Formats: sequence, structure tokens, C-alpha cells
Amino acid sequence: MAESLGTKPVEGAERRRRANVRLAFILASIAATFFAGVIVARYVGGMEFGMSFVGVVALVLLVFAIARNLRDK
Amino acid sequence: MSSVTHDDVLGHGHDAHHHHPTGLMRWVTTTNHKDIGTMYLWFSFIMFLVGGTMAMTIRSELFEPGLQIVQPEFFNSLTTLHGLIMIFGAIMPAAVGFANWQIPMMIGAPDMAFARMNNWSFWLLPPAAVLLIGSLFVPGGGAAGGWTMYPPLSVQLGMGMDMTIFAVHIMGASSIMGSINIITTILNMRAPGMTLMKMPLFCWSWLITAYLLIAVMPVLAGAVTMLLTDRHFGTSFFNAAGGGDPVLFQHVFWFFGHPEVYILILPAFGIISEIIPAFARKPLFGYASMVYALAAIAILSFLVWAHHMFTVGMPTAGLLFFMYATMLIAVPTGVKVFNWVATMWRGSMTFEAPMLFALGFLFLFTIGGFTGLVLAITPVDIQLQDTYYVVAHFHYVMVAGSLFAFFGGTYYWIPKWTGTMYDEKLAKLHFWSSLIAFNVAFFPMHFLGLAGMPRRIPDYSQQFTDWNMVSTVGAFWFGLSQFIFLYVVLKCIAHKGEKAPGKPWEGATTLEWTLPSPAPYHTFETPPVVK
Repeated sequence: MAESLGTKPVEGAERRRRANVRLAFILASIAATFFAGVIVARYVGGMEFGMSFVGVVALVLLVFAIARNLRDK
Repeated sequence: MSSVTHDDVLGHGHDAHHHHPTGLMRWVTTTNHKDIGTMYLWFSFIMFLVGGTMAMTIRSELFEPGLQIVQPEFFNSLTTLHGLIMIFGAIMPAAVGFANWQIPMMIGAPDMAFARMNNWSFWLLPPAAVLLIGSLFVPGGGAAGGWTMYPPLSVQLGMGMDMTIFAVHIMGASSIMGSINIITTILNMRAPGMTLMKMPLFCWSWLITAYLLIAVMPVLAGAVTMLLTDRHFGTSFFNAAGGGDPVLFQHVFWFFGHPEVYILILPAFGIISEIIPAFARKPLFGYASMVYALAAIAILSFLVWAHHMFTVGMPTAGLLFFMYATMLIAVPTGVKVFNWVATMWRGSMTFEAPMLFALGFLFLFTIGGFTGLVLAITPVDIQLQDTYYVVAHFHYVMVAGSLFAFFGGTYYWIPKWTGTMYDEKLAKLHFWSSLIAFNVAFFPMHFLGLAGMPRRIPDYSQQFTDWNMVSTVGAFWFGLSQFIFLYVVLKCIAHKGEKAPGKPWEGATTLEWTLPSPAPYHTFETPPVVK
């Protein structure tokens, strides 16, 4: 019992650290998508395709962000 | 927002037992959010002085018609670097400095989620600043195509442009890392009981700003990367000679550039939303609507980029869409202004320096907002494109908006940061001097723009002389006024003043005011209880 109590804060800290890293990776991947997307879109198609690609990614990001916040509440 | 309490303030002060490097190494290796916040704020102030010096040179040249002080090429470099330095070197780092200092203390977290990355985010900035400023001294001079870096000029410029592109890359990486840190800290490290809808509005404003940054900074990085490959690797993204499209750069740039305006102003909204309730001694009116207004502004900011480029030629439907979408932003912004005024209504108001700056912000930002509405009207914008009216508009938003909020925020929180109350008389002098000087400098630019004076030129027709002289006098007055601010801050750091109590502002309710002043080096190692 004493041992499990002693390990709880460490487990909590580890869980939080993993959650932090997971979220950071998600955010970094969004940033990478935007960076590569704006360049690749220009290679693949014309201006309309590129702007549509970036616009759709922006909307997906916002929907993701809002949904995540609502779920947390 | 509900009231907050916490259980064990004294348990957080571990300074006496904490060993960390001293001297220069403390600042190089620090992972403490307060140290890093301090470095961000000093860096931004130094860059503010550098960018301000460039502005003074520009205004000196424009004091009268003809070429007096600098050559036209150097003048163009000055206008370009003034913009880049003020946006990326002064305003954004200042906002991140406030975030570093305040967010962990306001949400009851011991530090930022990624403390080492936080240190790295900051230390990327000085090399970027060296690249930007150093570009003035290389063969061919600094970037001179304006802060927007439009091709074809930016494809043709010399080595200074490459240095600017790399500086933008580095500052962008720093911003993205900072944003990841802020989002993770806010979403994962809040004290128990601190739900999102109990969070101080400053933290909300930064959460939304950080999402904006993650969405648009990579777009700018992508745009300048394509610019770089056009310059050196034979691609033709924007180079018309190779079949590229220069207008595409403008679309991509402003897809970043317009949300960037809100990246600069939303943290300022957050600061004002903390100051006004504290000095009106009333809870913020319409907290939930303030949060939704912030989110609405952020979403709409993605849909209005082409109002910066009405003159490039686009279908009428496009012109109408971007005109109405831009006007729509006035609705959530109006909600915010209404709520700030409603918070003050029948409040027990006092007018210390933070409140004066908040009121100055409210008055002048509203003027900037209205001129923005004027510019949103497509036929009017086509007339006023690239005139001094635009310069007046964005300085009312950026200087009287962001900068006034940051001054107010500094006076509001400096007792907590240093443990010493600031000199109220000098702070009020700083406010009134800045307020009057700012209007002397920038209000005449509306007249100049309406009369047709183009921006980014070192010389002008004689009929513009009088208002340019007035504007230059105001600019120097405004610049010199900021040394009062510097003196007040240095006095606080030297503890030359009254000792600050834990909570110097009667109406302040957020978590940082439950800590002693100055805030201990480590805070909230035991999470507070928020009810």
C-alpha cells in the first residue's frame, strides 16, 4: 500500500509527460503539413488547388481544436 | 469567472534550497519560465529601440521634401526592416514574454510543459535578429522590397534578402515551438478545478493565438522557402520569367499575414481583459461571449486575406466576398469593445497607469478598427491602396493596440515580477506623453493618405510638407517618451520604490495574485485548489 502510494505521483507525472509529448507531436505534425502542403500544392496543381488545400487543412485544424476543447470540458 | 483560492502558497517558495547557475550562465541555460519571460521582454524592448531608431531615421528623412539624410535604396531597406523588426522582433516576443511569465502562474502550473524547448525557443531569436540587422551591412544592402517581401523585387535583391529569409525561418521556428509549448501547457497543466471556462481571459487569448501561429507560421515559412528556391535553385514558383505567378506569393503571404495581425492583437486583448475588471472592481462582463468572440475573430481571420490585395485584380465575386467577410470581423470585435465598456459601467473605477493604458488602448484601437472598416470597402481601398492612410490605420492597431496593452500589462504585473511598486507619477507621465505624441505622429497620416501621399517613398510633393513635419515631431516625441518607461522599469528592478504587497490591486482575482511579491523562483509545485 505504502509502495503504491509512493509511486502514484511518479506515474501521474509520467502520464502527463506522455500526454504532453503526444500533443506536441500532433501540433508539430499540423505545422509540418502546412509547411510542406503549401509547397507541394503548388507543385501538384495551380493556385486554386493550393489555396483550397491550405484552406481545407485550416478548417480541419479548427474543427479538431474545437472538438478537442469541447471533449475536455 | 469563479473566484480562485489555493492551499499552500508558502510551500511554493523554494528559492533558498534551489541551486542554479548564476551570472550569464543562468540566463543561457535557464529553463525557468520567469527567467525566459524576462529575457523575451528585454529582447523585445531592445528590438523596439532598434526598430524605433529606424523609424526616427525614416521620419527625419520625411521631415521635408527632397533627399536629406539617406539614399532611396537605404530608405527602402529601413522601411522593410522597421516592419520586420517591430513585428517579429518586438511585438511577438513581447507577447511571448507575457505568456511565459503569466500563463503558468495564472493556471497554477509549476512551469511550461517543455522547459528546455522554451529556452531554445528564446535563444533562436538573437541569431535571427543578428541576421536581420546584419543584412544592412552586406553588399547590396538589406532587403528593400517591404516587409511583405513581394516578388519580383524579393527575387532580384542581393544577399540581404537571403539573410532576411533565414531570419524569418528561424523566428518562425521559434514561434512554432513557443506555440506548441503554450498550447500543451494550457491544455495539460492546469491546476485541478481550473476548467477551460474558468481560465483567465489572457490565457484564452494566448491559447487561440498559439493555434493561429501553428496554422500560419508554416505557411509563411513555405512561402519564403519557395522564394529562396526561386532565387538560387532555378524554380519558378513566383518568377514570372519562368512561368511562375508573383500574385500567388501575395495570396500565400496574406494567408499568413492577416491572421498575423490577430496574432499580434489577441494577446493584447487578453491583457486588457485582465486590467479593466481589476480597476473597475467588477468581474468581466460577458466572459463566455469574450471567449467565443476571440474564437470567432481567429476563424474569420483565415477568410479575409485578399482584402490586402484588392488591386491585383480578382473576380467581382471575390472582391465582394472578401469585403463582406472583412466587415464581419467588426461583429466579434464589437462584442469585445462592448463588454469592456460594460465591465466599466457603474464600476468603482480608479485610474492607475495600467487602467490609463487600457483606456487609451480602447479609444485608439477603436479608431484603428474603424479605419480598418473604411479600408474594407473595396472601392475605397482601391483609392487608398499603398497610401499613408493605410500606414495610419495599422499603426493605430499595432502601436496604440498591441504596444499600449503591453505597457499597461507591464505596469499591471511589474509589482508581481519585481516585488516593487512602480513610480505612479512617472508612469502616468509616460501614458499622457505617449498618448498625445502618438496622435500627433499618426493622426496626420490619415490626412496625408486621403490627399494621396504614397507610402514607402523618401521624397514627396510639396503639398504634403506641413503634416509630414507635424508627424515627424510627434514621432520623435513618442520615441523619447519611451525612455520614461525604461526608467520606471529600471527603478523597479533596482527596488527603488515602495515594496509591493502580494496583491497590490484590490480588484485583481486571478491566481498569480495569491503568490507573494516578487513571485518566488518556483511557484505552484503543489497544485493549487481552484473552486
